[in-house]
Amino acid sequence: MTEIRFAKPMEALPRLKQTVSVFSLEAPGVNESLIRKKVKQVKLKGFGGDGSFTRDEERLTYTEGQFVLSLHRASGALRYYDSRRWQIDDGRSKVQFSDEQAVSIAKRFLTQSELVSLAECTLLRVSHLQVGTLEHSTGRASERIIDAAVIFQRMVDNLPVLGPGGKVSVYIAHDGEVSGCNIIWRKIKGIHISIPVTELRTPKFAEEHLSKHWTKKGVPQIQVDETLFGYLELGPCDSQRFLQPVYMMPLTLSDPERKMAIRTVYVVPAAVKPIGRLVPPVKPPVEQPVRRD
Amino acid sequence: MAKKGHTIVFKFGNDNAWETDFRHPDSKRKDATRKGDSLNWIDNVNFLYFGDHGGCNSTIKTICFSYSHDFCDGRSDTWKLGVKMLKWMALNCCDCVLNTDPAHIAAVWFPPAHGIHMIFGFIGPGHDSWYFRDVGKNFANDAGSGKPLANAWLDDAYSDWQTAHPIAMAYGATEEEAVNRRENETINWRDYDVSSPNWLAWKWRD
Repeated sequence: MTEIRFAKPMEALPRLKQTVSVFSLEAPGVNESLIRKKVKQVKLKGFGGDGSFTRDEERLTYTEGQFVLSLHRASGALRYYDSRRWQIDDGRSKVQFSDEQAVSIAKRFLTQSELVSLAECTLLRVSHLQVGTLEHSTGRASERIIDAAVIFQRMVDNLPVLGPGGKVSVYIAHDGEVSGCNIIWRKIKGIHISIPVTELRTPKFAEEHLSKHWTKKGVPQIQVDETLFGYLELGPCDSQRFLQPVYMMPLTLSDPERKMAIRTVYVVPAAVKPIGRLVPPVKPPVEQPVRRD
Repeated sequence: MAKKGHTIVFKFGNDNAWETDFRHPDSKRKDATRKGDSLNWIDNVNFLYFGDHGGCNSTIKTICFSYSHDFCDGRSDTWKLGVKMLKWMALNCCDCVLNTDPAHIAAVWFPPAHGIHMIFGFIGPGHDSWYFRDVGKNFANDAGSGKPLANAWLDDAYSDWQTAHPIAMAYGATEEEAVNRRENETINWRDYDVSSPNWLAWKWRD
């Protein structure tokens, strides 16, 4: 018997226009000239344009001294970092600025670099990189915060972009300098189709969909944090052609004693006729010969 | 990692992964019918990656197996990590530690350390879903490419939109050594032994 608890069920869809668009996305078109353009946009000290390129099946990477900028071929996702400073502890420094100051620094960086439009961003949260040490023999310990990462969520047509994509993270080192950023933000080509709101599935449908799916799998306990409505954008390694509306429900699966738990996210298409597959398929298990003692 | 020129010594999935692969032969475990065999398996390699369910029973880290051989769970109080060859262990499962209280981290991870350099895992729940399916591949690619391991793990296993909080821990005879490993160690440090695990240095993102 599966026990499912929805902590914050969605009573009704958020206020929407008469139609919700499904957008087609541009092909990422990752090449050397695009990466050079991004390097210029980052405009950080030390990035002069005389670096070298490396290629692998997933990324095209430009490196100049300690500065690295790469683009994912599948998504166009950008990663920039200063390899001497990004997430690096100098052994003594700690963050002295507030989260509000971190947000201002991140906004200034995005405005100056024009990597994304700040008007399409909403603040998701500020995270912190924490370091610690402890001596076994004495129990002497020390802890510090050495950076802040300001994370923005993309908004499209006043709807949040859910999932690993549609996010911008700006990393700020202890001295208030930007040490890196990650951007997963696929370019929209245009409206592929407009769906009348009346033809969208209801939140109730999505929650029942989840219940049926996990009950069939026999999971004893499920705690659903909330039901969200927005567009789904995938991670950096995934190709994606359309931006479509979805219901997304983060949840915890557990046994009755909660000795074991695992987090996952369940996605239900909001359109009655979604285009293609929304999330990548689960990898099939690799067949192995039976192992003997 | 094999794509980067490293050798895969074993790759056991589902019923082929056993608790005895982790248990040290000297460890006593009630109701065990077989001796631990870690010296022929997990401690016969330099780099170990484990993905499944996991837990932490106060100060004992547990990992789960789909097949009972001798048990369905492995317990860190039966492990001697690094006593032979193991340098790095990544646990893609829940509860590498329950929280980041230094005393808790120390209580869980000093006892099984016998030469291992670094451990990678999650604080509290791990994730098993479509958006996490490439964590192992990405970490292996970064590690195999010679990137500093702690940053590679934090980068590959962190989720800025879900509550996945990776932690990387490094041992050292001194604080300087543990911090140096945490910040700079790559797989090229394989032969730079931890002479005594007297210090732990860790980093994590909230």
